[in-house]
Amino acid sequence: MAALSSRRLAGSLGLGFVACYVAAALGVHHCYPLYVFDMYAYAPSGTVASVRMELAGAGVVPVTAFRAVSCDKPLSEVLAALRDFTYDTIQARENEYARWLEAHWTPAPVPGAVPANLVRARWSLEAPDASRPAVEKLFACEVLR
Amino acid sequence: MTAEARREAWFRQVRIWIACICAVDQVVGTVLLWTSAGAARLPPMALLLALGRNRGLYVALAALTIGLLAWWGRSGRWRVAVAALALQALLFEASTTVLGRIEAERFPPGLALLGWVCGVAAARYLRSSGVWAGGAPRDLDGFLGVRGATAAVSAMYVISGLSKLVESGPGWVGPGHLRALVLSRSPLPLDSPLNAAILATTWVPTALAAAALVIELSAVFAVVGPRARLAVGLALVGMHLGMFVTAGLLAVSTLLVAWPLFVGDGLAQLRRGTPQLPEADPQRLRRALVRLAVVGGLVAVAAWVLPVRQALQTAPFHQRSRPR
Repeated sequence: MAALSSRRLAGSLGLGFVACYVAAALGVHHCYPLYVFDMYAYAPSGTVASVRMELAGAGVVPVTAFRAVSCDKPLSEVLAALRDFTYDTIQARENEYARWLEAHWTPAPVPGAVPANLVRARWSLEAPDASRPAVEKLFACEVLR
Repeated sequence: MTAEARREAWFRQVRIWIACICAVDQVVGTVLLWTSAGAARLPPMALLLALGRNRGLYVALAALTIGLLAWWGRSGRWRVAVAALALQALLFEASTTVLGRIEAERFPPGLALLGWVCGVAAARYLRSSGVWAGGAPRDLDGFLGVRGATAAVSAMYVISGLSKLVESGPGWVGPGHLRALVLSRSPLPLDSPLNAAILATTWVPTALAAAALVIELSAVFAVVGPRARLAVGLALVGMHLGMFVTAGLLAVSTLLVAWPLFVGDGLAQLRRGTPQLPEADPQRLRRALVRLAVVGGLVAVAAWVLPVRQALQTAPFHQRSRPR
């Protein structure tokens, strides 16, 4: 006869379970409730791009910071620029921006609107200082905060 | 109240909590499916697709699942838990097939239920195989059920850490991952001091990413003992809070499952102790443990051999386009 603590028994069974779960989940990738939880595992490419608004004195800010937007091109052209996936981007976020622009678009500048540029900002993820994105102007706009 | 009764009361509370989180998850899953556009992007599997698109049948099965979870929470019946888990799996896969994306946040409740089912199954098998001539303590089932749930949630963190190493190697702890995450979570203010440091320096994102990876991998120690479980639990909560502060990601269901299983159970075990096992027959114990290991190994082999991966293949979580 041998003494076995319940804690040691639970530890052994638990480690065995973890090993089997890991092996099985790697085999199926996802089959509820097995999953490899790899949603943040993939290496990003060197840059991330996003459509932003550039204001004098305020820098590059998300388009969602404004209550009304109008640009020198039709909305369809602006939305096409947001859906230009030749750039490495996060599709869900750009879709969110596109929906926001559609909801806050005005055909002409509203009173109080200030000039701004709709730009494509590109951040170099591995640069020593990634806080300043490279900016490429897309459209001239007027925005209301 | 005896120590055994106090432990049983705690195990019952944990079981009811897991049942509640699973039931809430069923409601969330049903609402997600109900409000979706219903565009199936996954390779259609006829049965799952039909179930996911038949909203009446889906809601009826979700209600049945919630009923089974309530029954399990009250009674602790193992077969009821197995039935609830099977239904949850069916509904989740049907929902995933229709939605075309994997809702990672919905896994932890089911994982805790799977762990409980496996823990109680192991306890019953050990009891029935005559390992303890004098009989096992009454609260062994509850004890191994909760330990199993903890092991399952630990496994989730361990495989999350391993996936990062498998997909990106040690380079995952470079500044790029955290910066990409921060930049992707707009409209979060990028000028918060921490996020500004993540973008402006390389050592801050590297240190945070390395800490997150170490914490995830160290979750395996949570199965060892209550102090390790407590320490790992607090570290995991800190990691989740860090993810919320930097990237706006709040893993609600994960925290609701992990907090009681790591921090709560670590404290409970330190206060109430563990079941006292009688002398075991070493030969029978060894044989039983080997058989359990063989069953676990067969499940792992089946996961690789059966064509599950191909059948459930999905698009990448983040659909990225590449520069031309």
